Amino acid sequence: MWQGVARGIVSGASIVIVLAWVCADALAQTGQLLSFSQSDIRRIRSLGPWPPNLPPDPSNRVSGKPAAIELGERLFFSAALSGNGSMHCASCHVPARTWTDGRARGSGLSELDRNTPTLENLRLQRWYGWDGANDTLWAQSIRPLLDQREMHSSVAAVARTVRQDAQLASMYAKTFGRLPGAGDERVLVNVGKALAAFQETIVSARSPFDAFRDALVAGDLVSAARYPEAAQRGLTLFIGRGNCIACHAGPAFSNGEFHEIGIGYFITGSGVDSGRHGGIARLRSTRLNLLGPYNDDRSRKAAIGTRHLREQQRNFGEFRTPGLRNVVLTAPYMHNGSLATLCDVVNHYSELNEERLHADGERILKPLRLIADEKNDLVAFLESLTGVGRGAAPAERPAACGATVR
Amino acid sequence: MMLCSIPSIRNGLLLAALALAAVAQTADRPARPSSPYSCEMVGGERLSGTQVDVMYRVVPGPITIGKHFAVAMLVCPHAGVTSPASVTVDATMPEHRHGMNYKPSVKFEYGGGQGFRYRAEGMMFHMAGSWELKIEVRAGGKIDRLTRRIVVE
Repeated sequence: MWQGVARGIVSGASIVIVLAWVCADALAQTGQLLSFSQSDIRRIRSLGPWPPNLPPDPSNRVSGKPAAIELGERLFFSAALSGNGSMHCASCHVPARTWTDGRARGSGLSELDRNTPTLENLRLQRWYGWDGANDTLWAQSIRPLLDQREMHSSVAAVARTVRQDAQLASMYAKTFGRLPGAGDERVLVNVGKALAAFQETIVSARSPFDAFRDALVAGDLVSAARYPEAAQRGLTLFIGRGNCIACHAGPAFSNGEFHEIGIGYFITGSGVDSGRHGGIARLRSTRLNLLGPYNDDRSRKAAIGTRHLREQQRNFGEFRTPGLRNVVLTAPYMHNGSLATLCDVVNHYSELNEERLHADGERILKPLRLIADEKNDLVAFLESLTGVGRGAAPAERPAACGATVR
Repeated sequence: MMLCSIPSIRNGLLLAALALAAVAQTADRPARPSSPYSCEMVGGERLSGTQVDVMYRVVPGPITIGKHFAVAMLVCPHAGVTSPASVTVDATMPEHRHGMNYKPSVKFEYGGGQGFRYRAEGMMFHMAGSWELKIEVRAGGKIDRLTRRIVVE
């Protein structure tokens, strides 16, 4: 019997040795896996899974409905919604440019003050626009239609367009169960809800980071080791000394809230951009918010944030934390597009000018004083958030932030 | 032959001194009056003040960064203390020098043999790190300011 047990032990040990050998061989073939603590792994786990499984928006009764998505897509690319028939949503949110325009500041019928944000992953947001002036995607979708510097239409003109275009009216009836009625505002809101239904379908593809995150969480170290070392080092900075994860949290890499990070908010020729401060005022002044009559969620559960908003002095100059998925494809950066490259962004946090921060702002914001290698690692990590099939792999890109002089 | 070494005698004396100090401290501290309320809450944590004890529980727990949550509370006045006049709830990040972006609303639900039930809605911890939950209860003409450090990752 003991011989059998001994044979079993020897056999088991052999399997372990063989597995270790195979593992080491595989790791040697794929790359080096850095050491991540349990705390690190918990933080990395919190950045996924991706894509998330999201329920329809309860404030929008046509959210997730195929007919609404079809109508929304048609409206998104329809110039008839603009005041002079020259622009559509995709004029600024260009699909081939990751739903941005590549410009520092947007340009509608005239120049704007802020950078055009991507439309990816909007369903995960709580507040919309850089200042969070809207609490739903459908209300946010209406804003540029009416803004005189953007599409410069009107409530009546949008409603008239939908009523008079036979195909749009038919799609509207299929989506909302009736032809567009006499109430202009109701038609406008429904246009916003169809546009929202379409935009909710725009979700970033899985990235190399997601494959790494899933492998690490599953304990598949061989697969995890395929993630480039520079990106691993950058991730270590992101969740550790850099503490970027404090704001860029969760699967979309955004806590959805507002911060002042020392980016100027003066607007050429017209004063200052008050950011979240003005956003809260606009949100409270519109009946198109979640506390108003067009919220389809009778329980009003989703309105909890709007109901409990706290207006504070420090909101002045705060802007919403943007998500970071596909961030390499959405340059330039910051609310005013003032930083051209990811390297510029990393340099901003590395050399942060504390004198430009609010006296009552984030006390944890300190210059990171990164060396060039660390900056390159951080950029490599950010590049690894690019959806597969969307641009060069991080390992193939040249060092963006120079080399460290030793 | 020595039964005890000098270091062990020293240790014994030190232990005795600590024990005496502990007894003296207990004697100085006024005994907490017993509460007429059972003050029980499943899964709750207790905070003790001079006028009241508060049992609280985060709903839904655990706290997720950037997600709204509520705080269910059971306020239990100590013997001889009148029922709570007001309860407020807030939270700050002392290291960051800011609080929440939301102002919670607190509603009284009901009172009974267990204590007085309240619920704070609209809470949100929007950043990872160390938060300080603050529950302020006005009762018996005095204010109890109770705090609990909560770390969220």
